[in-house]
Amino acid sequence: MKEKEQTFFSKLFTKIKWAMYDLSVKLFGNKKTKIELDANKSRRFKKNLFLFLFLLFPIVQFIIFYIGVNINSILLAFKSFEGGKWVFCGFDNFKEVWDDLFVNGRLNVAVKNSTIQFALSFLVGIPLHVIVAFVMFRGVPGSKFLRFVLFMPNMISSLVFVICFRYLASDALPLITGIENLNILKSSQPSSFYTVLLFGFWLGFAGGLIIYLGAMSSISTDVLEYCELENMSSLRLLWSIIVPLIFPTIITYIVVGMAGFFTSYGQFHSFFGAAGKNSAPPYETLGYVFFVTIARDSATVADYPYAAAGGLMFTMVIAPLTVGIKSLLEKYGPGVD
Amino acid sequence: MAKSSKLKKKMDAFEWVFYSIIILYVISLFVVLGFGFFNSFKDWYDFDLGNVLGMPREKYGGFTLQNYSFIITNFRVQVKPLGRPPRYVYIEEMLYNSVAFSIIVSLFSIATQVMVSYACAKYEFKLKGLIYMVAVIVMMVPIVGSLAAEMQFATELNLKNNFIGIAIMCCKYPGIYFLVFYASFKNISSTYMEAAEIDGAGHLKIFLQIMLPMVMSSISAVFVLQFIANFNNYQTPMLFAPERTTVAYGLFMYQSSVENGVHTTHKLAASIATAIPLMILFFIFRNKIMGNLTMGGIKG
Repeated sequence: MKEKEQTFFSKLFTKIKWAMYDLSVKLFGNKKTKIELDANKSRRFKKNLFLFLFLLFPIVQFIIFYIGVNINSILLAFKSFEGGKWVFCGFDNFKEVWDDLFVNGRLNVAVKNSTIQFALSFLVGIPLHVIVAFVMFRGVPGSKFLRFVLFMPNMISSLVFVICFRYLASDALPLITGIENLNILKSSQPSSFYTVLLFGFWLGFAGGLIIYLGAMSSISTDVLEYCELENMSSLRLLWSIIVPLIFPTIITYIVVGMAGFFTSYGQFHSFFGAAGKNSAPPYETLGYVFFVTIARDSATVADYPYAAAGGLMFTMVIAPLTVGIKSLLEKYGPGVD
Repeated sequence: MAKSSKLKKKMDAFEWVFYSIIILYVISLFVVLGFGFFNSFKDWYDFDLGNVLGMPREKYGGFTLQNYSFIITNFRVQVKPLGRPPRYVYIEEMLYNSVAFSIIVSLFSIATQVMVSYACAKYEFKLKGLIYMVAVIVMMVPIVGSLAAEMQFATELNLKNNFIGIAIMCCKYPGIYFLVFYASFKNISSTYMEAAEIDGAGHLKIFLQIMLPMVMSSISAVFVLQFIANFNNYQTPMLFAPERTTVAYGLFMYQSSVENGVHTTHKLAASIATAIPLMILFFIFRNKIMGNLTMGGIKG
């Protein structure tokens, strides 16, 4: 009884309160009181303080270690280290890279190898990755197990595969083929480039599997059911439906892979380590040359400007090219009718 | 997958061809790993005498764990700290370094991406558009060859051989996972935040106790992936922490070891031994990794 009374009185009180509020709004408009304004100010201040503290570290980190590093990289490209001091040397480093690329031919092998590597990964690699993901998406027998195994090279260190393959090639292959002196990984032979290139391609066979599967599984079931009813062949389904629908994901891979022409050194460093200065091994790529310039044991700060100048030159080529190709693909890429 | 298997009726020639290629590929993976695995249980003398493809021979002890016991005590690499005498790093220290490096670098990297993506997805502020645009541009426009400048920064700021320093250096927020977390936070209704705010919860409390738990499955999947990638990364420790050898960097050095008494079977055992913890980790978290990222934000 008492509870009922309380409920009745509290309801009555609430009604009176709102009636008074309505009256005050009618009489004076919806003006906020000073207390409300202060509360808003305090809320805004708290929000801004939270955002400031929350974003402080990521933004400062980005400014120092991305913007700062890249500005330093530009400055480094115009310097040389002489007599224990950094001195401004104009375009000397750029000239050295230019000469190596186009005049004295020191980087000829690297350019040729990079082109082959790039062509393989773009013309064969990307289509293959899409097809493998598509076959897995179609739910072939044992697809759960196969997905697990196909993802294994991403989980196990590539060095494990490198070591196993190295001894398989050097110790087992001569026995299997009956060619005693067979050494496809001999670092002084051109075969070393092709062997490691194919090894890298083999290791990345199911590249992007999870991402492509994710993109494919976001395709509407209605579309797939319609294709099924139409009795569409797998190839047609892939070409006319799947590829156009996941094309934004494919573009991402193409865009990310573009810089690989200048930066990718595949598994060459894992197999052969850092070659000595001016040694020009037959397996070198542009990415490898500029990586080992910094990473070799004998590297000093005096080697940095050459690498920085090369990086800057390559960025000037690849950055506009990447943006251009991305817009072209977005404009003229396959669409779904 | 249920969607596709429901629709699947019969495989046609195109699928059969690529299915066969996939099966052959899987076999080739097992051949390479199996070669390493079986030979790691062989006596080194048996292997060196030409028994490369066969099973371990009984007269040389058959299947043996000798190589594994050898690497526990002899899997080591020499480091030369500046101004101090050279010393050896053994497997326990490498393992400790690997775990510390992987956890610290992954945590820093994920934390910055989560923080920025949360702020951009859930708050309105002046710099929001710029921060998001920068993330997209950095991912799209490649800048190559900044390694030299990074090395110089690391040396001058004394960040070398310091995992926290390396983590701070490497944890820039733009990246594919920034977009994943951004999409995850965007998908959560803001009414949770508003309700908590009415109840008097502060911004930090809302983030830590309400929003973060809702995206925890994506975060943990990304953490496992990043942990594994960092555990396997030998180049960053090689360049920035050569005195704190990790397992991956140790393996890279060990494969070319010409130290007396180190044989091929020992190197194979070392490589298989380093793969096992990650395989177990992957096996435990396989559904989380594959499921979350397939169903989660990384979509076309």
